[in-house]
Amino acid sequence: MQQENSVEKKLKERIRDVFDDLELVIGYCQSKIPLKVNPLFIQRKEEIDDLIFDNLCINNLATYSYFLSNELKGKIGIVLKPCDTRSITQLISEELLNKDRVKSIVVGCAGILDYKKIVKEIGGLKIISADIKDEHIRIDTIDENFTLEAKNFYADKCYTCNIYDNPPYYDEFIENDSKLNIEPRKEYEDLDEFEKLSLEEINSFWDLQFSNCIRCYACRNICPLEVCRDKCIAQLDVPHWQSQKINSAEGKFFQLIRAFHLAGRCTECGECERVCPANIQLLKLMKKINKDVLKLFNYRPGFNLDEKPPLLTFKNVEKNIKEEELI
Amino acid sequence: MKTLTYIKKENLNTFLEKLNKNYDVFLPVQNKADGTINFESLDIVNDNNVINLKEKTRKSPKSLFFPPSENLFEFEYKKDIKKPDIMEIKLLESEKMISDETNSRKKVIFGIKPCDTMAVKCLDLVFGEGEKKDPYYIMKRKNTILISIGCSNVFPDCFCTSVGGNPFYFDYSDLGLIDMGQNLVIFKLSERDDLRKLLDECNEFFEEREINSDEEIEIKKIISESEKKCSSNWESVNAEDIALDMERKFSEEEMWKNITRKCISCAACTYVCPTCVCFNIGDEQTGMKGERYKCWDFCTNYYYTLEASGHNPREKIYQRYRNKINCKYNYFYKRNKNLYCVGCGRCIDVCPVGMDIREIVKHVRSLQK
Amino acid sequence: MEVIKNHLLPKIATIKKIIRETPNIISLQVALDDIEAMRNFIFEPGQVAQISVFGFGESTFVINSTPSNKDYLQFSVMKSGVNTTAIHNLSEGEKVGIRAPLGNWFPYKDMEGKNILFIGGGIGLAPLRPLIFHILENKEKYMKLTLLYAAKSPDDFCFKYDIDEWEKSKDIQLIQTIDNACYGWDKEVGLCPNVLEKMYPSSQNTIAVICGPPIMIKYTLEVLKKLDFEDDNIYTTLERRMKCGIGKCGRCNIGEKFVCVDGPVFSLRELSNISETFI
Repeated sequence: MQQENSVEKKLKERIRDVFDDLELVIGYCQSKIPLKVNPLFIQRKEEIDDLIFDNLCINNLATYSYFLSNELKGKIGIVLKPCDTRSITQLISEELLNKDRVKSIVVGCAGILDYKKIVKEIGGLKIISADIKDEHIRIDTIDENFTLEAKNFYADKCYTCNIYDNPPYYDEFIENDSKLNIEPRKEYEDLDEFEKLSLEEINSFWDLQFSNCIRCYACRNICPLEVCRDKCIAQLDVPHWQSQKINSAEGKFFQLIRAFHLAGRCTECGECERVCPANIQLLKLMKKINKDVLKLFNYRPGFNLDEKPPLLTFKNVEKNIKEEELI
Repeated sequence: MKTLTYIKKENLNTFLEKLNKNYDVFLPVQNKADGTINFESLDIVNDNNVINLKEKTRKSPKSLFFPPSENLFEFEYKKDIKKPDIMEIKLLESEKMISDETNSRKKVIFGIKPCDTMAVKCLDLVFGEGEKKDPYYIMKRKNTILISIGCSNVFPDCFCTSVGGNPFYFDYSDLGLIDMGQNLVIFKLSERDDLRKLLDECNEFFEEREINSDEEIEIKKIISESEKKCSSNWESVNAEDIALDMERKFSEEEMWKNITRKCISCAACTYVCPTCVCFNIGDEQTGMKGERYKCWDFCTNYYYTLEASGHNPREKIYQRYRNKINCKYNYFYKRNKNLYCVGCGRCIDVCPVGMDIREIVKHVRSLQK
Repeated sequence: MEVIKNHLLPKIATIKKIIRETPNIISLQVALDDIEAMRNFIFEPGQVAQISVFGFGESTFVINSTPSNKDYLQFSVMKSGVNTTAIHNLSEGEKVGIRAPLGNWFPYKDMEGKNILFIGGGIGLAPLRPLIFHILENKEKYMKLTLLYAAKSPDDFCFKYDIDEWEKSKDIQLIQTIDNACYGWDKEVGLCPNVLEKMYPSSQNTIAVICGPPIMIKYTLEVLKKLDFEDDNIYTTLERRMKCGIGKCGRCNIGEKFVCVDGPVFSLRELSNISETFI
């Protein structure tokens, strides 16, 4: 059991204060698996003690907001990182979520560790035990021990984050004494290399990536914005859009459907990439599309409650699309 | 006098190379780029893809018998000029397709873990038993020799000892090996003719000598230590009891709702599971030709039981997850006197939201009723 | 080498005749193209078949012709999904694939010497039809036969040709009911459970066989209970989404039972031993 940090204490206190108005609070709790945390659904006040908040809390709990707000009658409290609030904002702006049904309890963030990056660094070995102390991650596998510097293993989004202590949207905000302390990178910097590739190279890159897709739909179901879970055209019988076969062609087809569904809506939380059992670089595709949307429509998903996503509406004349030049 | 038959680990690669000449050898291969380990053909092993017999594979070996999608047969519509309004149909005999499979070379799965061989037993019970068998599975299965290595390494999510197995369970392996540091020692040998043939062909790699008492003790120690470690991961489960308990608590809707709340009903757990073999059947047609295929499907999926009328007997996630857990710990046991979970722990490893099947079962059992 | 029969491979059959039963239900009479196989085709009342339109898929239907008929097999199809729509678009002479017979059947031997109460709702009469025929063919072995047939409106009754015959027959008593009164209707009016309650059939030495939409089954069972029918003496036949039909693909389970191999015919006793609800 790790020692309770100050932000955890403040978080619990705040949740105790507001708990009576809420039917359920979603937060994080310890997991038995090293370097992972679990979502926690709090229905009774004494369960608040199980709450944690540290740099392993990578899950975007906004995922549960849409389905739970449909299932339950009361108000739901959700513990969010500042970046996760973008998903909530986006859902509200698309009228998929009623603002009054959700209480966003936002905690200032000091960066979160990316499990997959760590596992990759240690060569895919299974982690038997691990602990984090003073910005160092110590890991035991069956034969080897590793000590890694935490600052190299934060999630990609942390390196470009500028909202970690000033969330764009919140109902409750709990400040974190520890601050994000990493060398910032330029937004979409990681796409530079990729964009230099030729069309053939890009095609073969994605073909290889999507050939691993087993169509488990984890990416779709974990996504806070893909509320289509049980109505997805990739699984629909009537009309019959897509074969149910599991192979590279169908995998690619499904992933492209996903990408288009999220074009200009994706809040880049990275959950899809985190959960993919086949390690497909899903976020790269989303980022590329989002970058294009930003260029064309000057729109960044998840920051504005009142603005409609550009691809859900249209203007007679789009400033940055020169249709006449396209013909 | 007891003897010890073994293969030197330093000779393992040449042994596998030789095996690969007459057989299609599949074994755990690690992709260096992202570290994932899966069962792959020996042919793809190179500098970027290396053999890794120590760790657990991400996906289970079931796809070698039960591919993600596979054609059942092909069909072709034909038009007769004399009867223009009638379409004749011709099926490409699946028997032919199946016998093609039989004629193909024998497969060897090397380094399959004991828990995965228990899973193969489960698959045999599903596809190979009963009045109506599945020839597509049987043809692949019959052709496959399982060579397993006992688990000297036990991981935190392993729990085979809790569900009736153990890290050195070789009842379902054709050849069972124990890793003794320098050597892989044969611990169990099945009577299969094709295995005898295989061993004869690779005779030069196997050495035999008398066993000394130290070695005997060491083998026992390796086995008991692994077993101890594994059983500390979870309590032992009595299959009969747990099936009964599941049955009794089936109608506790509130409990099921609460413990499955975080499930996002994806197929990650199902598709890495070595025993989950539910499948879907569908048709695809282009022009006058088409095929009927079967492909993986998962029971936590909304469409799984959705009827054409729009009625869905398992509409909610908790109903579907309850069915899944009951399938593993109750239904299958009732039908076959065998649990449908082998304790490989893969589902725990891949779950995006940290569902732990052990915790779920524990929770169900702890409910007083 | 042992040859394993491939139960997933359909046999080709030709549609001999199409009968329109109601605006969205048709009956197909199909014969296997292999004449020898058709002549030797044996099935029991209640067993099902998988019918495929190649390119669209397969669906499950009860074989509703009488088992003694060796010329063709009859199926009734309601238009609801992809495959059933494809079937509706077929014409006489066209080909379908058939995998049959699958599943279990009504234990008609156990019903000998007893009164039998058939209760059917809409297209739910289809599974009962082969049983009724079989029992009528062996009338001497059975006691009193009653059929309560319910439908939404007069247009929704299937098998009107059978009804006409049964109405005239002395061997079976026929009671028809529709949900709401309508012009020109002189028979019963009311929902199936209510009419059944009014009929007040004796449960003495009587077996009830019931099939229809889930909601009808649910409430009719309640009435049967009220009338003191024992679980052992109530039979029903169930529907689930099916794919393989041979107990492998997993989806049609109700608890530990697979509808495709342990069913589709169940006694209420069997069903009440399963924790999962069947409606």
